[in-house]
Amino acid sequence: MVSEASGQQDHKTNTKLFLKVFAALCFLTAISFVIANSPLMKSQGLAWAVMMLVSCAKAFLVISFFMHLKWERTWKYVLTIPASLMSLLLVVALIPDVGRRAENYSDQRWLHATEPSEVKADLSREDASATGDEPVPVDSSESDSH
Amino acid sequence: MTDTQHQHVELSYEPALPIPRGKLCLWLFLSTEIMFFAGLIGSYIVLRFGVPEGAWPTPKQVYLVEWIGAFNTFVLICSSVTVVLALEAAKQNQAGLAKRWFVLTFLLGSVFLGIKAYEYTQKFEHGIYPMRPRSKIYDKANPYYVSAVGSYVAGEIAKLQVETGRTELTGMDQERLEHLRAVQTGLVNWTAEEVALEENPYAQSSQLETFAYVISPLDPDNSQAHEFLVSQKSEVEKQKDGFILEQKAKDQRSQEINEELVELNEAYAALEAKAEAGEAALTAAESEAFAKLATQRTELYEELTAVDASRAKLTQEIETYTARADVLEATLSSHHGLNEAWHLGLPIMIPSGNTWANTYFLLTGFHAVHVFIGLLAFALVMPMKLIATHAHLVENLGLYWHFVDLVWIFLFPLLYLF
Repeated sequence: MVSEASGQQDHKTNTKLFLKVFAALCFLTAISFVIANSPLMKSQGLAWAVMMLVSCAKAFLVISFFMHLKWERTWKYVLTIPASLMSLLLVVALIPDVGRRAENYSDQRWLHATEPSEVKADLSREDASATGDEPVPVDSSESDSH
Repeated sequence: MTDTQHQHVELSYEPALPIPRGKLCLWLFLSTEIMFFAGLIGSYIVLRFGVPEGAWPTPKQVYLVEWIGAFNTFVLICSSVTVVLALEAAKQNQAGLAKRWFVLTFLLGSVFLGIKAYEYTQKFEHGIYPMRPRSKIYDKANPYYVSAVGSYVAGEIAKLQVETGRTELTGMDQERLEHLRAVQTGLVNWTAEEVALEENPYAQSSQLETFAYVISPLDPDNSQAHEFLVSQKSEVEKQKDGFILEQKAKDQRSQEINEELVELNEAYAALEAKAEAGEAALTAAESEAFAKLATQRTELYEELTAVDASRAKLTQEIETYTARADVLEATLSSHHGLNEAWHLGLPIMIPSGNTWANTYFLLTGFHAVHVFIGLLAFALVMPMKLIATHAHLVENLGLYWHFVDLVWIFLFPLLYLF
């Protein structure tokens, strides 16, 4: 609960504060959006990290001001921290076999694994000319004309 | 310690946590919700980053529009502010003002759900569903994918043919049927044959990638692939023209043979009739001519059979090459491949597309259910007078609503921006 001594004055400052938080949240959302469309995305890891930090900052604002946890007593830690730790544990437990699954694929498994898709035009030409006798002439003549 | 001190122990109720019970319950519920959503989001992250490098669909490839997601984030943030202002007003006993903020929150929540529904229908239109049989996503360009497209096309053709039996096909259906047949010969059978005749596995996989690219390109701005298709198209057309010329020559030859045969047959029949009538035996010269005619006739018939056979084969080749050229033409004419050009709804290939669809619909679906339940709760509280004594209701509802907002704050960048 908001501090017990919330009078008319307090009400006005509270409203102002909430509007400030609102502006900050919009600004942070805009930052994420700009980052996603900026050259920073070329080094994806960094962009992702920044976006997640922005999200955490937004979450912090919402939790502390809108959910009033800033003004709550220490019970807030009892209810939030164990739950957060449990969920963190759950996710960490998934990392070894699910998160790192591609690292343990056998050759057989790779045959059916999803891979980045790309039309390798040049490769197909080279290979077609390398194999030589082509009953369907499209690719081989492709390589000739190239 | 004395006895008197013991006697005056007074037991008084002291709550373990210094908050109202309703709020405590809500916070306990929220702590389970933290685990629920953190588990979901965490497994999404683990699934998403565990795929082989680059094999996860980018937002564009699965028709996610960034600004719509950003706008929805904005809508939810606004609704968080309005519910907090409603609480402030209720605490000040300003019931009217509180009600206005409250209604605004409800409306904003509805806008969020409306936009979400619009986004879902966009996905459904492109054959993106959480699972089979509606989902048209295949994860890899392999022979299974080709055969899936093949059986889909065959099924659609059969459907239209059944209809043809009953009624006259409309112009649109007729066009669709033609397109389906073009896809069958010029894309599915074409690729199947190419792959079957190819021995080099890299060239095979390249042909399969081209197949998937023609239907729905993952990277429509790939100029290299575009050039490749353009050159393939001109090559196919050149071949086709060659076949047409050849066919013309064969047609002409066939006609010539037929004309010659008519003359020969006349002469042959005359001699035959004469011989059969038996009035006068054929002269030596005549019987020699008769024998010559007979061999000539046999030769011509043999040639005619050969020419006709190659004509039939050429017709088939021309059909195949025409279909291939049509398919390539349609693909090159539209930015997003054959599916956009002809609207046939062919199965599409998106690496990890099915895992993506599963997690996307699960995460956003659970979130949307939470939004919906929040709206229901708002609707239940709406008729009440939002005075200070009811402020705790607004507070608890607000806590729940902020949590829903919180989840979306993490979902937005993870789904739309990564």
